[in-house]
Amino acid sequence: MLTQEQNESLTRVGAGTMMGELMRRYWMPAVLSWELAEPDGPPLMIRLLGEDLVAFRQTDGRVGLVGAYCAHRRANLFWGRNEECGLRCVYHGWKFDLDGNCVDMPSEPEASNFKDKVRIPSYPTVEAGGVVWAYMGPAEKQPAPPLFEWTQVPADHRGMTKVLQPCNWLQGLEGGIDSSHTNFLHGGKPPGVGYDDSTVMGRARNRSLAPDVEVVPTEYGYSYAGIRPVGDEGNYVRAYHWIMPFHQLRPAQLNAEKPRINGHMWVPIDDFNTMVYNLSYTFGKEPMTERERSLAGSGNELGVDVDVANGFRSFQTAANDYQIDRQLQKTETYSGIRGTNTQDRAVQESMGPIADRSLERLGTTDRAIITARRTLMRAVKTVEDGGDPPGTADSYYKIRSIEKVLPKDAAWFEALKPDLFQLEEPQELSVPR
Amino acid sequence: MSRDLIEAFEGPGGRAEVFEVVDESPGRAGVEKVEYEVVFKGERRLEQTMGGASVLACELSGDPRFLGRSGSS
Repeated sequence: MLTQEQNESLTRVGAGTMMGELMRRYWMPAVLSWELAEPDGPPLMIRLLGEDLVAFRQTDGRVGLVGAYCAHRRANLFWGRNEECGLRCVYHGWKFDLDGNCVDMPSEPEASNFKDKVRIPSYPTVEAGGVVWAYMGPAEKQPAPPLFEWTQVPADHRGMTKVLQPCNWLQGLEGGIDSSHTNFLHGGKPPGVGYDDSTVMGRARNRSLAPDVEVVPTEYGYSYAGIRPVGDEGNYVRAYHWIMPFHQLRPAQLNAEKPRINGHMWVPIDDFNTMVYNLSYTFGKEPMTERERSLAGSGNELGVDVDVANGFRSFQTAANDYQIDRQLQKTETYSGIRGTNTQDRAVQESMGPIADRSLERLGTTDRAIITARRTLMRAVKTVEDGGDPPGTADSYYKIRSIEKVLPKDAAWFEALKPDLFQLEEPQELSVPR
Repeated sequence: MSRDLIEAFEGPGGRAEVFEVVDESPGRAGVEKVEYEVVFKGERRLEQTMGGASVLACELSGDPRFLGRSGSS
């Protein structure tokens, strides 16, 4: 639980708010690279941390991210013409470069130097992993570039989609770092029906639905594990990473054809809307198939689950009860909702635009959530005091999420450390069944 | 070891405070050990969960927030 005041401080992201100032210390996904496919192509209207912005790929291929409103009469630059390394407002022809400088002002006399005094907000961008990232904080505090391992693998070794989630970002993050809900929301056999005991996860679920959740703080956030007994062979350990402020990486190796890691980034559009970036990649030698790269079955597949032309909204929303199938709910799954992450969005959005955390009763399996909140609150204080928050250095560049069956008496963090941090020469893991 | 006040509950019985006690150097390397301490009228009680500690603090103080009575949550 949080006090109302703490809840406000962790959820509000506008400029000048405590969390807003913390968020502005990190690189943030702004758009997918393919959305700005060609130089001098159509600009995109986006909203990030409560600010209206326009993104455009200029003539030389670089991506500009500028305030949405022309400095002259505040017309929206989304209507602008993208030409010759700048975006020209269609109202009176004022043109701005990617640094926000007004570089042409044809509506004023030629002799005027007015344009030299005019600029609009602009933010630096980098492209990595098929994503355009923006930095909206103080120039002197710009962090290391966001070179997660998934950004460094070949493009055919990863898949990436995004989906609009109409609720506060923290609800999404907390759903992602909550390991125990998978047994229920994403499972849920009817009474008396067991799971497939021939698989590790099935054996784990048949023995206990309450994992032991353990958290190990790190420089970038923390590593954490859900630990589930699977009988004499030991414990099934699913080890994740939370990277400040909104990245989650989780293993997908036990039942996969190739060693994969999945993850999300819950990027605040504003206080009440989140753009969820969904990723999957393999660190094996073989590339992913087109189907794997589409994230089929996750509830995040573009064109199937997500309406790209409608602002990346899900086809299954609160307005249609997420297309819940009550018969399916009786016979097969707890939720009766199709798509793993659609199930997540349904429960997270059901908490309201901003969940009231003052009324929660948190249990042992909520440890990762509790620690994340504590870490975020400390980071807010660090920024207020002029310091650098966790996760702004390069300490997360080599991390991997790993799942394995370990002997019962093994300390998971020590046992998995070489794989979690690639301490030895990176290599393809064998895929256990 | 850190000890932070999470929330104070007040009611007809008095004031009960919930503290989070974090030990970051327990036996298993690096893994946080977290407990919750309820302080009421000078007496300390340990709970394993934040929710359990909050419910206990409400019971001791009489704060209706977590007691599930009509008109409360």
